[in-house]
Amino acid sequence: MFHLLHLLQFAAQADNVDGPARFAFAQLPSLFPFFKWVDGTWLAMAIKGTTWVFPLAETIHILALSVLLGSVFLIDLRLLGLAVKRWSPAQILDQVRPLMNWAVVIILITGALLFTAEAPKCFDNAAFGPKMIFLALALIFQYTLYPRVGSMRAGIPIWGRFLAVTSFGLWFAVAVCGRAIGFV
Amino acid sequence: MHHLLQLCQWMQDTSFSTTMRESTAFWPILEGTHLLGMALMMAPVMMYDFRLIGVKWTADPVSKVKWSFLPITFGGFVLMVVTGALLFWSEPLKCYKSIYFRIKVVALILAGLNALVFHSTIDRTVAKWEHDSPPPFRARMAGILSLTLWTAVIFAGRYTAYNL
Repeated sequence: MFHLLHLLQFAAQADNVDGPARFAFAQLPSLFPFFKWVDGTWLAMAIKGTTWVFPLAETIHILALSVLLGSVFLIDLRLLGLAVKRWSPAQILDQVRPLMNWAVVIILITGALLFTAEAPKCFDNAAFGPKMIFLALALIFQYTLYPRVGSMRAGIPIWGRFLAVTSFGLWFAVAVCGRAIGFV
Repeated sequence: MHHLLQLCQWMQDTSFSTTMRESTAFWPILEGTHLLGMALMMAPVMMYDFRLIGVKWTADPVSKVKWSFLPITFGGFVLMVVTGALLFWSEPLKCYKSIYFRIKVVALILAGLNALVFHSTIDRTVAKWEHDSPPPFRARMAGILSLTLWTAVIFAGRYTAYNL
């Protein structure tokens, strides 16, 4: 684990010490005007002008992400045949689907608020770029392939394992990158 | 209270505490695992609490929901306590002095008490009411309190981290 972290830190470092971090959006200078524009909006000023909005948004962000990650985890445990075996994957999805969808909405709204308050920092941050890529992949997967869990009412097809590993892996990667924002 | 402070001071002075505070990798991994455990624990807790309140899994008897999800929460809880204790050990004095950490501890204790009271009273007769719709008042109350208290734990925990 220790070596993995060092590997990630090394990978995130710039080719030259003064340049932008390797995976940051800063590698694409043409995007900078957008980040700068966000930083100057009324909303950005408003959030930065208070002390309480950012922590509150971030805490709600974390709460919603734990609901999302936890729900996905329960379904994935079932897909792998490891737990919650009294119900089919489709039955579990029926119950958690509204929770997952609401969690995604709240995550995106609070995430947008957090980004608005810290746009330049996100531009330079080595973990933010990968997080956005993983987020896009996770959302696409969540709303294209993952809903097939809804058809698994009797047995679980062999590709159920693929759904489980991919969905959890993608959301986990988003969470890890999100946490890493504070460390890189 | 003084003895608690002494204990925290002793923990602060251990080399283990210093090592954790000065590590580059250990603390992020520890905190990351703590957050992951939180996600993994929240979901089954929610499932059971929502059944007690009567808004989810309503077609299933309470005992079926209980035994499907509670074992997962126990594993998650062990992970949370172990990682949480280690995190505390890295900054015992700051945690001791933090109002947010104190709120977190109180909320944790209340969540535990809520579970204890529920399981030793109305849950004993679950076979009688597990098909009722809505569930009995005390079951619904236990579910609502559980969700509220665990949310308070998460809020207080995050604000503790901000203020360390």
